[in-house]
Amino acid sequence: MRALAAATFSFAILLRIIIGFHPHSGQDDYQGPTVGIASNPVKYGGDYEAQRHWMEVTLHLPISEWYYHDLQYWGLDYPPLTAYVSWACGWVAHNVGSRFDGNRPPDTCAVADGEECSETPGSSDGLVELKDLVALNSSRWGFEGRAGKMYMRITVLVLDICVYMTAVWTIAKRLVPPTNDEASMPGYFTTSQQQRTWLVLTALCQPAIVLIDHGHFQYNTVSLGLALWSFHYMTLEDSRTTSFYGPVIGSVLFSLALNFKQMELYHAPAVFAYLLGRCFRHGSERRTIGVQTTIKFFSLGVAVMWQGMFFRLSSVYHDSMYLKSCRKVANIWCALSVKPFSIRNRIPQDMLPIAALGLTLLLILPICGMLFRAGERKQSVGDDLKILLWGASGTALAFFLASFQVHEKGILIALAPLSMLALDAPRFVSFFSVVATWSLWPLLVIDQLQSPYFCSIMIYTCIESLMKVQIQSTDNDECIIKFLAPVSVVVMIVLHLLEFLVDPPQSLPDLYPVLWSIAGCGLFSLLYLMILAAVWALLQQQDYHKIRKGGRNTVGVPAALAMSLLLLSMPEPIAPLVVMMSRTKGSKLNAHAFESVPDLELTPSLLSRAAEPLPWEVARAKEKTPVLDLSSARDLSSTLSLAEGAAEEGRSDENPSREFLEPWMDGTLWKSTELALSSLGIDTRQALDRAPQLLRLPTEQVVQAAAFVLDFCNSSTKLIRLDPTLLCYDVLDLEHGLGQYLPNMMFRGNATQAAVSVRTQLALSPTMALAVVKMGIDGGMEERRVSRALGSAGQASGKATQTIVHETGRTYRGFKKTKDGKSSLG
Amino acid sequence: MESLFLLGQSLTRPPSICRDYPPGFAFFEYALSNNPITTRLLRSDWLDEKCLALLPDSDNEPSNSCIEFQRITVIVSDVVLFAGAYFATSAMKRLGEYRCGRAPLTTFFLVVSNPGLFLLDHIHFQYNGMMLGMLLISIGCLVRGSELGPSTVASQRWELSGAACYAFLLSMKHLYVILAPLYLVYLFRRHCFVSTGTDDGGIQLRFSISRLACLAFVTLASFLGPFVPFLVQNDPVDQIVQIMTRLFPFDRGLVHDYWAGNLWALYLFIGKIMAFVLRKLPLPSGAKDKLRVIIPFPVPSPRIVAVCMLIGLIPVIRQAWAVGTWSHTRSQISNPGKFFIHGVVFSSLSGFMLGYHVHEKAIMTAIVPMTLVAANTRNTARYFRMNMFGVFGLLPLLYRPNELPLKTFVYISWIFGTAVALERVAGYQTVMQFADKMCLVFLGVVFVFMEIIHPLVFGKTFEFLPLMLTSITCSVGLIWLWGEETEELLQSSGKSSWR
Repeated sequence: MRALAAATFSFAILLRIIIGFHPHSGQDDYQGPTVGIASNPVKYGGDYEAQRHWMEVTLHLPISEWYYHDLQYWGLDYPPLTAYVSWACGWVAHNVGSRFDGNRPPDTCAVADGEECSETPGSSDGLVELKDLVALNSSRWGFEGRAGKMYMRITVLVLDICVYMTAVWTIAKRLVPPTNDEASMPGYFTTSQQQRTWLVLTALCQPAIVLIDHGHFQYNTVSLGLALWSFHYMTLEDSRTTSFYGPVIGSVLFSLALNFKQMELYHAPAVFAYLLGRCFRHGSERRTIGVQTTIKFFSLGVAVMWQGMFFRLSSVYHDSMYLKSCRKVANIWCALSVKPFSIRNRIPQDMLPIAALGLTLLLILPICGMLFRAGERKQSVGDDLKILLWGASGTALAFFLASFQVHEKGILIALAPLSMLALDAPRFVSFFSVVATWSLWPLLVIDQLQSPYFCSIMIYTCIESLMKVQIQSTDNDECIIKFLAPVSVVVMIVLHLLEFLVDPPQSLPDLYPVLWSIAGCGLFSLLYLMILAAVWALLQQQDYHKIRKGGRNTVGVPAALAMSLLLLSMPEPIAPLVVMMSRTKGSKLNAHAFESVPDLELTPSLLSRAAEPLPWEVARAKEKTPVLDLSSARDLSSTLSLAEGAAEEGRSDENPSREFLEPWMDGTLWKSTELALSSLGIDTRQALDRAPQLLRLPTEQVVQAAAFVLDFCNSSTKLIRLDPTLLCYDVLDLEHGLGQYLPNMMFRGNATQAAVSVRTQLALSPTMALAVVKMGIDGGMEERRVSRALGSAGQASGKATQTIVHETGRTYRGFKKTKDGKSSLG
Repeated sequence: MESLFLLGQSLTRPPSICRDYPPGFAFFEYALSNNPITTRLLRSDWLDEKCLALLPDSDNEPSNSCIEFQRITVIVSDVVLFAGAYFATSAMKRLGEYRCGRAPLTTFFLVVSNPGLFLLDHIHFQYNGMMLGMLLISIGCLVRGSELGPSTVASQRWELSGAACYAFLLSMKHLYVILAPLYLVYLFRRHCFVSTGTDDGGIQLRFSISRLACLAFVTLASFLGPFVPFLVQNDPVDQIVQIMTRLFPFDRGLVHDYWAGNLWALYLFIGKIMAFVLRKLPLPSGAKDKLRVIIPFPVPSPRIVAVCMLIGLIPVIRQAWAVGTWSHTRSQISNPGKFFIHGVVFSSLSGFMLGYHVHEKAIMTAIVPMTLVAANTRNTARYFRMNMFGVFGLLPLLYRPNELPLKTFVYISWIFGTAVALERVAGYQTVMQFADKMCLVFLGVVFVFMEIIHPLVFGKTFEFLPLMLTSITCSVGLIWLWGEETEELLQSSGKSSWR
């Protein structure tokens, strides 16, 4: 496993290093194919130069001047944590550079890029450059030497490894927890190990994140990693300590993330809603008020911060930056500002920020509501994290779509939590990351990162399709994405080809960026809706889990309910299999009851009650004695009544004499029956109380009946507890009644369906189920009796038949008369 | 892997100076610079004329688009490697060599994602992938041919095409001449002899002149084809002489600049140590003078080196003869194709160890064929070690400080990736045993010393130290593997049941 993890991480690092060899944003002051080498008198380069400049500023100036120093040239506009990190990087560079300052050759050529200097293998001259890299003011206007660039790239890489990769690894471990057999079988990878590896690999090779951080040059992974860490802590297992410290640590980490980059605000509503929900959660253990208030404090702190930032940002909406950067972004406002809609001309400029605010709130509200519910309730552990990840990416996407002054890179905020869900919705996540990378294309063209763009998408697709081959995942809501993905991929490729082959017409120079923006906006809106659906589905699923979990806690009864529910939702062929499995499990569970059965005291009353004949015994006995000898009968009605009466009298006469003759009286028979029944998990004493005849019935017959009933009820003893007399039936009768008669009567001959519905009924209303079962058994016995009787009666004469018909008709008329009388009464 | 290329940092070699390759490669370059696509690119502004023009040494700084163009040609030519890897693995699969179901795929990936090829071709810039792809195709053909008895028509065809493929490869790059004895003897004994049953059930081998003629024609045609245009020039003899002197430059010294980790490097190293000890040792001057005749050791002449190399190839020649002989019998103990791969590995290792002015990249000729049998539990650990030492010897080729993280992580991710992949196909703990771990730790120490400690502590003094250390480490490791491979070779040929 260690080798597997090491291989995964080193591959991810290798990918980052290789992308790092490509140009960074604004290298040689190249500002895109339309502008070319810019000659801006105020600024040079892009984000790389900005970050380098911040190192220089924070290193050499006192804190009070950081946010004031020469704002025209890449003034510091990120929150303080970024500034501190810049300071640390600058400090290291300065000190390493100073160490080699002494033996600096007089004419260094290290700055000249691409030229063969007097460098020799293993030369350390390049490191001197690091001091110049962060020298105040003199380093401006493009300090892009080889060693300097390497150093800058390495800082991103190190921070990425320390923050983001660890966060991904931790969350992957949470989502795919290690199983017990992992340690025992080295060299063989279990499913969970494979799944975790794939999850980590896909999350770390997200092309958009890698390209922006290691190609374009930014430190997004730090804030994203901090956010992921905070999600991890917030949703930690709900035990006494972590339910308090988890959200607290999570809130602190999230505040740090906010403090590193204000774009993390996109996650804030989700975090806020979830934590608010946590405040209202009533766990089984009583939580002190102090804990609640603390959590509230932190969550409200986050909320206040969020709102404050939000309004502060809304005040700078009118900046010219909006107009500049809006065109290319795939959000709603940019897509709607195209000609036929041209929303910016219809709505007054002052109203636009408010409209944006309103739309954003509208879009994040449903997700926040669901997250609140998720936080409020007590759930299983992994799902909380999943819901938070979904929700966080949902709110981020909502912000990206609907708010103002959005940058293309804002999509990374939505992408990072989503990439941790690659196992739950592989198609969705891979499609989302491809679309996100594709939407960054206009930016990457400016950075000259075309080839790494194509290559990293290719690598990601390879990894992701390999993952699909290796892991058969259960992806439920795939039908939309199955249709959407190929279509939109074709559209993307066609757009790429068009851009490559066809120049835009003179009148529409920005045709392709606008097309990009519109297509991206449409796709992201669809994806937003799908995220919404996913969160909703997850929430519903949790309700479902809750029922099942409750069922496991209380022994016996609700398990049957859950099982029957599950069985209902399953296709038919699986049902018998599950029944079988659960039965074996049940018999194993109850094996311990085998020994502990106390002896039974045989009282005379019990014995006499036991001797009482069962209804079916009576019927069978009746059948054996010739009920009516039709051939010799003259007065039919008297014969019938006589025969019945005689039989009954005869049996009641025999009863007392049997009391001292039967071999079951000493209780040995019952003992064996009892042992067998209790091993099946049946409460024998209660059964005997209600059905004393068990005392004298042969063990084999009783056990067969019990096994059949248990089997029929999906190994639930509920039915037997309700009516132990079921055990007294002959198993053949039971089989016929429940296996043939009941299905034939009520379920069109479908025995499985009959069994399933009885089980369901058993969960919902046991008495009803009992009634159905009884009806089935009795009906079945009656049917068999009648068929037997008819068989014997077939030999009787036509007269007898006529008499029967006549008799039946008479009975029917009488019945009808009484019924009519009743109905008239009613 | 294809995408991991555009590292526009390292200096490329424009085709104009690649003139120490045989004519076949020259025609390959000619095809690269004179085809419709390149012409089109030249006509558009993307590729500048300077890129393909003959330039003086003072002004040959290539432009970015030129570098990109050249790297794309490497990637396109890697198609041959992919095809070769696929063909050879499927041939091995037909042989029943792979017991594990995913072994062919793993082998394929191991071949195409070899870190050595990645460093050499895509960063350092060479066309090794294409050449090795052709070698793999040739090996694959011979393996397919060895499936059936030597007298069947299908088998003959496969063998002929394998021989032709090798001959063409030889005309592209003469590095592979080291495999010639193996091909020659194996094919001579297996292909040019026909078995006839004797009365007592044994087998008699009869030489078939027609088969030899056929083989010779095919081989010579594909080998000499590229030479023909030079022969029709005004001065054919001078042309050939010029080509030969370019190909075999004996004036360049026994070892390459970077000291490939072979036997001669170790020899020279020991010689230097002895000289150093001699200087420090308190001996009477008379004795010192006497010792100075042999210390430092005399540098062997090319002739002696050639003799050494021939001696080094004797085992493989002997075994090739034996295997070619018993492959005619029905009761084959093991497949001759499997032996052939080990023969290729051994020959290239011998060539690497004993050759004159060997470049580090020559080890790839041993490593890549070895990959084909790596999924077999017997060979896995050896393959892993060979790659470990061989690729480590290539690391100094990337000497710039900003390439340090790159080469480190190429190496590390290869080690772990291969360990995982091989453990899955060859069983647990076939790689990364205790010895391997110790070797890795030692290599790590050497690496840290030569890349970090040495430049920081010594600076420009003792510049030779890191390279020498690397090459000595690699040569010790590879000599150990050479010995193991000799043993394997001698065992793999089996016992002859022919009389």
